[in-house]
Amino acid sequence: MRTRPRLFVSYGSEMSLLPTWTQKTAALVFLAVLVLIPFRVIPGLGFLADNDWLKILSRIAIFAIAALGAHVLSGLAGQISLGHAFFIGIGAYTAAVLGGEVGKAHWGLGLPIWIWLPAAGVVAATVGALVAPTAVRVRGIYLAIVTLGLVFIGEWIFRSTPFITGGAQAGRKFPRFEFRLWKEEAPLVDFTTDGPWFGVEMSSEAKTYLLLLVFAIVALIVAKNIQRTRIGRAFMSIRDRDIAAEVMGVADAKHKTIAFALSSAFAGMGGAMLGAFLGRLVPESFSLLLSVEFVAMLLIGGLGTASGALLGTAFVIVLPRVVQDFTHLLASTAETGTGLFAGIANLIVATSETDGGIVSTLPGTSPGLNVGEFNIVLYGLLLIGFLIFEPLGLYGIWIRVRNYWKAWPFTY
Amino acid sequence: MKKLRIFALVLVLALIAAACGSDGEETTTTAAESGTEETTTTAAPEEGGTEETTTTAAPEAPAEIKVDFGVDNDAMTITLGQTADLTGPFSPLVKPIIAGQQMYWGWLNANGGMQGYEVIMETRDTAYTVEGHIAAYDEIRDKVVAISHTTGTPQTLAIGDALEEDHMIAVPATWYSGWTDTNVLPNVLHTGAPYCLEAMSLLDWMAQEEADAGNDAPTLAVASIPGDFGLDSMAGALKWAEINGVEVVHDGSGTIVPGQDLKPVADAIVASGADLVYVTTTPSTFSEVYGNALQQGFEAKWSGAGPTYNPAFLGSPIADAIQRDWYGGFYMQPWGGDSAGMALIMQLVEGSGADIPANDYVGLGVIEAMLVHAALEAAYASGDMTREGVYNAIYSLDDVDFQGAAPNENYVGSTADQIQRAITLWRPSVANLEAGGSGSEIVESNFVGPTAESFEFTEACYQL
Amino acid sequence: MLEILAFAQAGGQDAAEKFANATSSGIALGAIYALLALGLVLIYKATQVLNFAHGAIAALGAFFAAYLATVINFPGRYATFLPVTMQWILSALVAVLLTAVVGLVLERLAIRPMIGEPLFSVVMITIALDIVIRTITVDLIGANPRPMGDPWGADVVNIGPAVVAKTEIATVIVTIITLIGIALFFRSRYGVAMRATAFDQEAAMAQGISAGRIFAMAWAIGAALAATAGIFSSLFPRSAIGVSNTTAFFAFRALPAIVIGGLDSITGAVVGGFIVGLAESYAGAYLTGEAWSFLGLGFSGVMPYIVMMIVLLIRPYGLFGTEEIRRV
Repeated sequence: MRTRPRLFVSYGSEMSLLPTWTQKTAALVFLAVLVLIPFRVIPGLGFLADNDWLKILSRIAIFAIAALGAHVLSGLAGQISLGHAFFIGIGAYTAAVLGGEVGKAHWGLGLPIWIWLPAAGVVAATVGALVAPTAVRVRGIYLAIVTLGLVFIGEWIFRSTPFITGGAQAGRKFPRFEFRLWKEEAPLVDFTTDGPWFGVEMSSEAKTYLLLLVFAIVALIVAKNIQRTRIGRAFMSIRDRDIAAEVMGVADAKHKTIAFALSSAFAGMGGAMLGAFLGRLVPESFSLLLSVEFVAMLLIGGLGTASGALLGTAFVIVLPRVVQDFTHLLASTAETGTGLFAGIANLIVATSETDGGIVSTLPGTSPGLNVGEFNIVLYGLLLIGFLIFEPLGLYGIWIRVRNYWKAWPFTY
Repeated sequence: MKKLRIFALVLVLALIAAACGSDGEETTTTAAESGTEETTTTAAPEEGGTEETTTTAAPEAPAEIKVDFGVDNDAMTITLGQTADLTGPFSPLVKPIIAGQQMYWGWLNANGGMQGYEVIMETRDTAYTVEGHIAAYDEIRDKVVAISHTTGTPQTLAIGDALEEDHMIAVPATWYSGWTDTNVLPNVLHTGAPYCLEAMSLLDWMAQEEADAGNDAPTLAVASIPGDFGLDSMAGALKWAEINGVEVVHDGSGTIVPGQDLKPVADAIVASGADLVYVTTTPSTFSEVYGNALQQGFEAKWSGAGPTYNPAFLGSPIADAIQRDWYGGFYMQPWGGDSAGMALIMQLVEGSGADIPANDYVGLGVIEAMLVHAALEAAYASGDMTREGVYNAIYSLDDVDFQGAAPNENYVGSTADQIQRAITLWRPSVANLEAGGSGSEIVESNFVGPTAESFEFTEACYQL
Repeated sequence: MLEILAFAQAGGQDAAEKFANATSSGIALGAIYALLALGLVLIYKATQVLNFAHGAIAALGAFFAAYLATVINFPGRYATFLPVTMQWILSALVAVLLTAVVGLVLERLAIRPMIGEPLFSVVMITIALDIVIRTITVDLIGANPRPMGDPWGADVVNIGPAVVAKTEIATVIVTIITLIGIALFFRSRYGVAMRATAFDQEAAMAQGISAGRIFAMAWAIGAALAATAGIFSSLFPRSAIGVSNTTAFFAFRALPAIVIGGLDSITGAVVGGFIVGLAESYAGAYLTGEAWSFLGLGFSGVMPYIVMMIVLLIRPYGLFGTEEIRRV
């Protein structure tokens, strides 16, 4: 029996997070790889231990936490929301007020991380529950516009409260990743300075990365577990057919409100971490574009699965970097390379003011788009391509690959 | 079957790892290649460009030069970073600035380079977001010796700790008064008069013109966008009113919010009936405020911080009115000025063949490049081209000369010693534009108003 | 003229004048919102897609008009015998047509393949289109904003106590003409076909109506309306400097209009547009000053969204929208 992976003898085992032995192993290996990244011990992945890549990975961890919130609301409960940025902002500024330095121009109470991080989630969840009555009255595209309105109203609130946010185009400092028991001088654990941990010399980037990795894993387990509870099943029944769910005794408004609150809690904590990670944010940071990024993450990853949300997050965060490196690769090939590829590269890339091409390595006012613009256009086109050709997202691709290998060497 | 599946899993993982690995390796080698591919001949500098520097001696053996990041003594290259807004709201201003830098460094490289070193630019887009700026800086910080352009004050402050940690100098494209304040992030260099002193000089000029026309007691109305750009400027204007006993009939500091209907701002200015209006914002929002005031027949002397104005005003419906009303100031000579530095800028633009409009921001890019060039020359002369060496070098220069294109700068001494007060005054002129200029008729170069002159500058006018 | 007006203003605005000015500019603003809303609603009605790329398309249209009118003077240079106003109108019309073609292409390449896909995905497609078109448009606009080269310039006329810019009068006239045009269109053969498709797609197809062609037509007309709105929102006094890199964001201000009116109601779009325009204008005129400073910065901009929230609390499908009948 134990050798039949898809045979479940109890409901509990079917619902377990990692039902099969293979999945357990894969998850463990993957986890080990993630933990070992900063130590440069895995061949081929050494470059990820560079400070800039560690920061990209940390960013993925933070955005993944917030994206899991979006997943709970949109993926599980099926509510399209463009308001995620607003809740991220609420969380970030809660953290800033509670954990910010005392006696500066902006409000700050100087409380430790174990207060400001959970508080960011709680406050954001409360705000989420407060706005939910408006949101649960509308459905579909109306909901998208209402939540979009939330972002604009949020920006106005943030802009108009400079004692909290520092004001538009000025911003304020956020608390750092330091663990204190209370307000003592020297932090117990400091994630923002270089120095040895248990005898191993570690950079601040590596420490922050490991901390955020832990947070992200906790968030993932929580999100996965929400899916398995009574509430999670209620969410999914509302997503699949809300009236049918109501007929079966699932309280529609109540569960939508819970979904908003839970999603906002993730977003709020993600926002608090984002503020601490970046050190400074302006009210404009919490704009519609940020919300759109989360929708993109969910859709690219594959709507409705937590692993899809994670894949999508990684993809959306890493993509700009890859596109940029790709353009630079094209440029250097166009300049120095030979052969067919160089010819193609030369057509695409303009390397001087008089050269023609779609994208220019000279970021000034030379012909064609600059690298940054090319990046954005490619990002948009990839999004469109994904949605048209792979509606299930990266998760769908993974399923196809998995099914192929499952049957390998047979084609079906 | 099960074994097969595990094998398959390992294979997939290995494939993914290999794909990622090769991707990363490609990335790094690309960077290295672009760094080394063009080792130019190490000829001595020939003309003009190096005159403003402290040493003009023949290049010494570079082996004696101490280096860490961004300077390669084998390949003879210097890499400079730019964290620039290439796609965000200020991209129309920043793209010409970067173009100006490209032209300057390209010209320098063509003429033997910086003491034989070829200068390479690593430009990254920030989209004018704090997040984007931090990511851009993190990506290039280990490749470059200095940041020759950084867009935006809050964005630059967000990388402040990292700049300090790296001993990296950065040239901001903002004229926030805090950059001169030696207590606020000394890594960010000041260039030109800050917004608040600019406001004082411009208002001194406008009040003088008003007095010449017979009005000895003018009233003032002010409005701005939020943030250091608007509020630093407003701090200067309001301080000017306080010092000169001028009545402020409307204070709209921070009320111009981009993307909103701005008629209320214009209405408030019109209702105040002010003689002098000082507005600091972006060109498109200014045109909305000014247009709405003009619609109601409002007439006054208008001015604002340099970036508020755009030469495109002279081709728009408000051209006649703006010619009558606008009193312009800028941190450097406008296009077509009579200095040697301006002549160099014009020569660079003509030589590049780039299709760019006559735009003061190209000149700003050249000024930024000249400043970094001066720092590099001084660092070279001291034999220490590490980041810290460059940092120490710039703070040993008391007279960086921009050949008249911008007022000379001092980086030695206290905040009060380092402050730059001079701006260039100009008036908009359609005739000038039609004659091939940028539409800015210079009234006076190196102008310092009496209030700006006597103002004791010890700290930032507006605290962030 | 300007001097006389300045003299008249010197005593400050009295209440009637203030109200008249706020009303007239609110109507002009509302006309632009109505144009934008009309395009959005048309596309939504026919294809069930809320077009988030509307603002970007509007900016692109405005850029076309500015380029045609001021840079290459097309088609004016072949028709120099025409008065300047006519030449500009021709340029604007060509720009609107060009934008309609862009709308056709977008529909064919990006929207048509998405028929039947979930709402969420299609919304995301239009957001991605917005990103792409906006970036390219900003690059086309270049270093300086581009003035529109319109014949009215900064001229103003007095209508009663209100000082109205000629461009504002032109905006309202164009909006009225467009509304009449749309109303006539809906009575035409194609218009009826479009209404039929919107009502019941399968029944319409059974009657021999090509749904694909209707979709294409809706996007073309929607893009044309967006371009018209883009052009008129880039004129004095709203944006005296013409089309700039921020023009594209203007359309987000029209979103509350379509929700207030009801997403699938043409009448609702127009009414909603004017409600939002006037609400914003009155909020700007009366909710300012010391007493209202607690409202913070830029309150008039969020006013439409607050009005929208209130309307939705009372009527979840807008003032004129049809309530969705949900079957289990």
